[in-house]
Amino acid sequence: MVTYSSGLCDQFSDRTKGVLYSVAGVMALTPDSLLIRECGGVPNQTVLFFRNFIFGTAMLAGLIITEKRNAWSKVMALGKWGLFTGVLFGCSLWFMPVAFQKTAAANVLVIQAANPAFAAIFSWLIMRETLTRSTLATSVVCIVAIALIFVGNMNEGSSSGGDSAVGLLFAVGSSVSFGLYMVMLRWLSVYQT
Amino acid sequence: VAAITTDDLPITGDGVVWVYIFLQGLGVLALGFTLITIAPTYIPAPEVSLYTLLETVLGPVWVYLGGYEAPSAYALAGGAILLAALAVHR
Repeated sequence: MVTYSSGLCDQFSDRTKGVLYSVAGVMALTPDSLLIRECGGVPNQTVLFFRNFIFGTAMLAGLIITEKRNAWSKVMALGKWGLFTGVLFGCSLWFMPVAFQKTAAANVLVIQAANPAFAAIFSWLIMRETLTRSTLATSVVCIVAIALIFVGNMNEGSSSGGDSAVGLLFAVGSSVSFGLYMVMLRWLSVYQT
Repeated sequence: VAAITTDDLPITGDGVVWVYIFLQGLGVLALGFTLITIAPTYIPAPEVSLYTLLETVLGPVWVYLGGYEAPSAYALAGGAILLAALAVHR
């Protein structure tokens, strides 16, 4: 939802807030790959469990604080497709750190950045939304860029161990599941409300 | 059923791993995703998506500055092509 306001000052204020939220959010996300690297001495699944457990607990606490007695009914209102959507987000959160541990961070982040292309494909498949020529072209370019990283991986070998190809597959899994998650969020808002 | 041993728990080193894990759970995931979710209420969602591309650029930089691997030439080329395509499309 985009909020528009009549006064120039108000509009500027909203825009400033939006940019600040965006930049602060992205800046909070960017150290993720480094922090995962720093946990290299701990088993993958342990890091995954605790980071997601802390994240889930924080979000649940936020829900309870904001919704109070309505929190449980809000969760139940999600239904089976809401649960499926949550599982997709969970898959994305699970695949990405595994990918970070097995291949170069740049490979993972570039492949993750291609998630809008996968979202476009799923949007066409699930919601029958028209793919514009521009979106189709961008999706093809994204897939070519991912293929280039796979080819580079085969030519150069891994910079962080022998599991690099597996890491790239996990990165693709994370990107695909996040793209599908975005489409499911839209599908839920259109068909489940 | 596999038993959980102390080797499976993040209690290695001087405990700093716990700090990293808490930073991931609270700082990165909870704070990051919350702010990114709020942002589209003030500016259009495609613009927010454009800002998220910063992660693709800055993530490998932090990793490199942290003393780990530098991005490969193929990753740089693929990343440049992909970011340009996404930026132009939006």
